[in-house]
Amino acid sequence: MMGGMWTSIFKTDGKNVYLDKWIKYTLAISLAIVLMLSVGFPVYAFAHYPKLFPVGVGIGILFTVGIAGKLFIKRFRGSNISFSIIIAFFTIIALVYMKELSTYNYRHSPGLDLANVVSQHIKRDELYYYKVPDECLSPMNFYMNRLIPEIKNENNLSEAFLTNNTVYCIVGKKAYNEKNSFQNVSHTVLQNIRYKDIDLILIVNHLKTDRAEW
Amino acid sequence: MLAILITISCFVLFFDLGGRGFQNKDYLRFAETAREMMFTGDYTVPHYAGKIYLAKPPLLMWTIALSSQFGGIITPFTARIPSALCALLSIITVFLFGKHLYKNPMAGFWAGLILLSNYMFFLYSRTVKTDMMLATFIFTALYTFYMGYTTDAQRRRIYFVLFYVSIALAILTKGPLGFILPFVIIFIYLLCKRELVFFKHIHGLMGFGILGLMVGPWVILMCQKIELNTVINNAFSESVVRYSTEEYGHKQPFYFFLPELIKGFLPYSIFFPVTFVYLFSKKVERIMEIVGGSQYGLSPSLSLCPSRGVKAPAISFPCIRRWRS
Repeated sequence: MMGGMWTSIFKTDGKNVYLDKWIKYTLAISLAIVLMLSVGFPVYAFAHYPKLFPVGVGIGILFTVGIAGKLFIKRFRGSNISFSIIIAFFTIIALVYMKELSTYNYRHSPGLDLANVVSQHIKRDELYYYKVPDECLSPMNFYMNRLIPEIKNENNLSEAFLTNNTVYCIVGKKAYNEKNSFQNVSHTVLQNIRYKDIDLILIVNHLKTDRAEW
Repeated sequence: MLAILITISCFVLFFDLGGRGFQNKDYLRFAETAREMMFTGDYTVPHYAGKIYLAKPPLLMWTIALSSQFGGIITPFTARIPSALCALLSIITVFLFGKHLYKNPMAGFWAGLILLSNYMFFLYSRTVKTDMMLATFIFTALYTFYMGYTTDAQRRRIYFVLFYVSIALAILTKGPLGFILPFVIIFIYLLCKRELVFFKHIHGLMGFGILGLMVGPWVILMCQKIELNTVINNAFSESVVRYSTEEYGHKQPFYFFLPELIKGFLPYSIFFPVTFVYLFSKKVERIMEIVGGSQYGLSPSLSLCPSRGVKAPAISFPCIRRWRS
């Protein structure tokens, strides 16, 4: 397949194509690199990711359609499909990349884990946050499909917690340890939660302590 | 050819589109902002984590909310549909552009396939970010401008309507950058062509009207809810400050972008050396032409006008197309 391309570079007599010798040589080197990668990448990919069989089948269909088009459609008989094959090879690499990301994600989604841990306590009760970075807050909002209101100061905290309803609050551990705000409010620590490298604490206004290190 | 290209593109762009979660090489931010729009019913002022979020205009969030309306919930698949559809539109535009420039649908077909298999294009077409949408609207704006530039006066108006619609959508995607970037490119192009006078024929008044109709209502509605100063300061800081200061952590030395450029254009960055040799040889010919030694009339703008006498080597056309786009 590279032969046709090679010929098209070095045998331009009689064609309306002009190629400078420097262009010829740099193009030839580029094509040699493409050839090596085209062979090397798929071998590497399918050796390392055996789960990619369906992707391979998909690409196989593309190849078959391309080759069938060349053989059976009169218009394409004279055309050179070598470059399309190279493109297909590189497309495999891109698919491998995306598929690998997908596989990784199925094992690991910290935001979803965080939301699940909080959800198992909360159900449909009230939940607030206090001194929690947006990085933690947005996955909780998104995966729990709610807008968690903020407790901005000590007065808010007292107002929110001094009710007859069960009220939960997720607090940054650093803020919880530094501030004295929580000493004046009756509460129970439900769970310590670690999200990436941030420590959080889930507290409730009235519940028996259910300490479980997570 | 276009049907084959669209079929291949749909397979590559939509295959396992929702398989990857948001927190994996993607931004949850835009999906969350769209969810908050659906949750609160406020589609005018975007909110993120309950706070006003003006870093980006709302078009991407609107489209995410729209594609998620049927299920009522935002999933990775529904959130990525706008980017994937924009990528498809880009590929179709590239096809039409290549077909028009080279009077050959095969040129457009190859250009479309190459764009599709480009690493960074492929990655961004499957992520929830504004970049793919912005690139698409800028590209359609440039295409429609070129068509308007090369066609007769009667058809020009239609192309310029599409041009301003694309600009308006680009502004709604990423703010003033959607306006600045295409106009800088067009200015440089016309400067190289020594036809700056063409700016008289771009139907500026109609353009202001279209931009006003498409962007204005959102700006007015937003200004009713928040102060105009906040909106202006935010647009300025997103379009100018972030590129000139270290405030956003984006400032990098110039050499930082070279490996990024090579990585972004993979696998076609392999053809960079050929492209530079080709461009250099053209530059030499251009000098020769000025001196009076060349018979070939070379266009100074390689990007949009192929030379008359010398045909670009067919094989390097695609990489040059990619390089310039």
